[in-house]
Amino acid sequence: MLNSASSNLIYIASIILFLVGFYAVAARPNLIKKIIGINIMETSVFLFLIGIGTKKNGAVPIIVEGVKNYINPLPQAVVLMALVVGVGTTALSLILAVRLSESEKEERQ
Amino acid sequence: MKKMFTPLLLTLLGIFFLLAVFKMPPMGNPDNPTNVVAAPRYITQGPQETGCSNLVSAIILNYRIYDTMGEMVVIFGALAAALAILGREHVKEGLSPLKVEPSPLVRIMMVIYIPFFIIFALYVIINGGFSVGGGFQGGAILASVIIIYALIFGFDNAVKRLPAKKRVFFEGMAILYFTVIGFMSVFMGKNFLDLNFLGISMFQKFLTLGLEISIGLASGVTIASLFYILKKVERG
Amino acid sequence: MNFVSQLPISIVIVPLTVAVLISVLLSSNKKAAFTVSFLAMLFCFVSALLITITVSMKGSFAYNVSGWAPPWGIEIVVDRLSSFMVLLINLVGLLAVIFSKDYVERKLDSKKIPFYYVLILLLLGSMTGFVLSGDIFNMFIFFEALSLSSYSLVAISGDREALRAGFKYLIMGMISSLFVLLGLGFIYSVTGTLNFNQIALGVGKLSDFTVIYTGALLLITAFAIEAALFPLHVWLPQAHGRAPAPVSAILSGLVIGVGIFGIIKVVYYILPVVYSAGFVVIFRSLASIGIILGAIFALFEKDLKVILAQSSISQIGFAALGVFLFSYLGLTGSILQILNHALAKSALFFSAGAIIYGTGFKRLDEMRGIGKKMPITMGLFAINLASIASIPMTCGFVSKYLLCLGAIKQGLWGLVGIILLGSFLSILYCVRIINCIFFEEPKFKVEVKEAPLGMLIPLGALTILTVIFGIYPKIAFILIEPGVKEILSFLR
Repeated sequence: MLNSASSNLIYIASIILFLVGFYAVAARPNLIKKIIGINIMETSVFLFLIGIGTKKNGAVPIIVEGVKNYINPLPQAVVLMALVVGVGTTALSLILAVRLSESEKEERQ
Repeated sequence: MKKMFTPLLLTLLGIFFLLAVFKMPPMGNPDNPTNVVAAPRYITQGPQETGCSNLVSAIILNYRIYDTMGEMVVIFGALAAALAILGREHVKEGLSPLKVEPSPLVRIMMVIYIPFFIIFALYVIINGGFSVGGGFQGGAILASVIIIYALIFGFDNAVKRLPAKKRVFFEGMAILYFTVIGFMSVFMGKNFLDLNFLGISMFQKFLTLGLEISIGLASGVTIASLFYILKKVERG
Repeated sequence: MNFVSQLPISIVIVPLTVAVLISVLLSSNKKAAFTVSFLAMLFCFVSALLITITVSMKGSFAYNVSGWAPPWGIEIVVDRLSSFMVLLINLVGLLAVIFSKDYVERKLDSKKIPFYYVLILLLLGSMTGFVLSGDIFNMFIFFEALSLSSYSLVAISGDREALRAGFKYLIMGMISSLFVLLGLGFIYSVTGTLNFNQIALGVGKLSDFTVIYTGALLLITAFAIEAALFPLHVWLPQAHGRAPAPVSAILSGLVIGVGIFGIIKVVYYILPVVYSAGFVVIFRSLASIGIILGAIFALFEKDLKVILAQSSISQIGFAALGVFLFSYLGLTGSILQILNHALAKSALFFSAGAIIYGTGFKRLDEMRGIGKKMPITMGLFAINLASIASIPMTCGFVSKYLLCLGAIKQGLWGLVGIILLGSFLSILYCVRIINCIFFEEPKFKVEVKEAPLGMLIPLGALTILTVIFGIYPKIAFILIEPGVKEILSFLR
């Protein structure tokens, strides 16, 4: 148990980060803070996925002469694609937040 | 009640996750299923099969290219949503001056630097298949150049440099490129988006380069458009 | 066969590409945007019909996108269940596009209309992609695309309530997509692959199931948010109630059904051992609470569309209950319930949209006696309400009958009681609506006319299907039965 805990420290860190982000989403009424919270959660999931893809003494997955031991490129590709998706959703959430605050301003006038 | 509920939920969730994390295979072990099942083929045969020595690019642009197409659809969907909810920016002359005039030093430095930034972005885009980099990363750099330009030389100028009419085509170009190549490979009797549909590895490399460029330009311009749309709203 | 084998990818790609083309070329021409998106959906519907016929005659097939076999590339799985879902999605999607023409013309800014069609096409295309995909990460991408377009479609009208509802939906949806990503990471870390069939093989070889359970539970929770199962349904009533009517029809009829489909895939492919696990009881009881609570809330709401949305929570609870029965009857009942709900609830939202289009009425007490002024629309509305209330001779009766039978066979008498009570409550709220619409004296000041033909055609088509499937449920069985058996063979 302890052994696996020490080797899986990054997973534990990413879980803690995930919970921090979750707290920001659940407890904060401010829309922008909610969006930031979701971004923190997103980052933690990326950290987790990158952690899954590592390999001891593995090199960056770009083929170079003389290197044999490369790490698994799939998690990195997955994270890259999820990152782009995250940009899209973050943009959309900002747009909705902006439009919402705008319409609330109109309401008050 | 609600104040108690959130920490309780979080603790439960944390315990739930930690229980699983302790049972996960130790990180970095070469015998992990992640390193044994699918990874060896990518590493040993990736460069020959795809023509990319950057294996991440090999996966994104060849093995799992359908995902990349979906990812471009998501970015495009965000833009379409922005256009539906907020609408395109339309700038009138002199209506949105800078709040603080930047110092001449900043302006001159930017004039010198921006060409280099753009060249760097193009370098990242074009070299994605062979070294560190890739279409989307380069596109993000390109978008940040446009955003810096807008911040320093004024929003009006930036929009004038890259008006909506010019952007419209770039925004959709990646998905259209994917579709054209995809149906070309279908008509050649291969499966959808099989880049090696002619059986010539040079041609596959050429198509991959085209993919990189179209993804880079499309994502860069889309992010810039999103920025413009959001910026317009701020000014009311 | 060769031609048909290329169709599944085409019905994903064509709507997406047409959406891009509309945005690039036709962003100021709303008539052309409608025509093009109608043609695209017509193509998709015909292809989906062809695919379904081929699959039911020749059996399921897989298609490797870009030519790489499963552990390395992405696989599209066209089995009986997914082809059935694809047919359903494209049918309702086509009708919703037809319905949109008149509705959107009157209710949305003319600048927004082309982008409305863009988002509808993105939603339908990515839903098809989600259902056909045989790879979890690909599913995640399409899940993200479909939820992104549904958030924006909820908020598209731009009034404050719609924006609020859209933002709430967005926050829940983003958390759910992160859960998918995290769950996928857990599953990948012990199986080393992202393909469903390979995961099913890999899970069999494991000795310790904790990680797989965690991953599968995360995925189920995520799809349960999309499917609005009980504790995670909070976003639904507002989102479905405030969206434009054709969008509500798609969201309520299809998107939550697709969420249930995702749960089916996770439960039957990934979960290692289900019978002994205690959480099945939890899921069953949550689904039961959802059935009862949704129906009770539907009894007390005032806005017609919100009533329909609350009833969606109750109805989709039945489908989820069927999934967690883990038996032939339960799963068949659940899929029939998805079918019934997609047909009837879309038709109900269409008629609610027709009322809003004609009169602007939203609340139920404004609509008193409207049945006398719009007899055709409201007649069709009543038939579909009967299906929701599970009156015999409609599709809704068959699905609940099967669920009941399945529960009796397993000796779960509590669930039988829940199903009967839920059906009874749904009869109550349907009677309340019918009473208000048909048997009270009309008191409105505006002139009320029958809905235009462009709205009556989709409404009529859905109603005819509801009745056909109600009288001859055999047709649906022929499509579903082999698929259910196929999926049950994965159960360990």
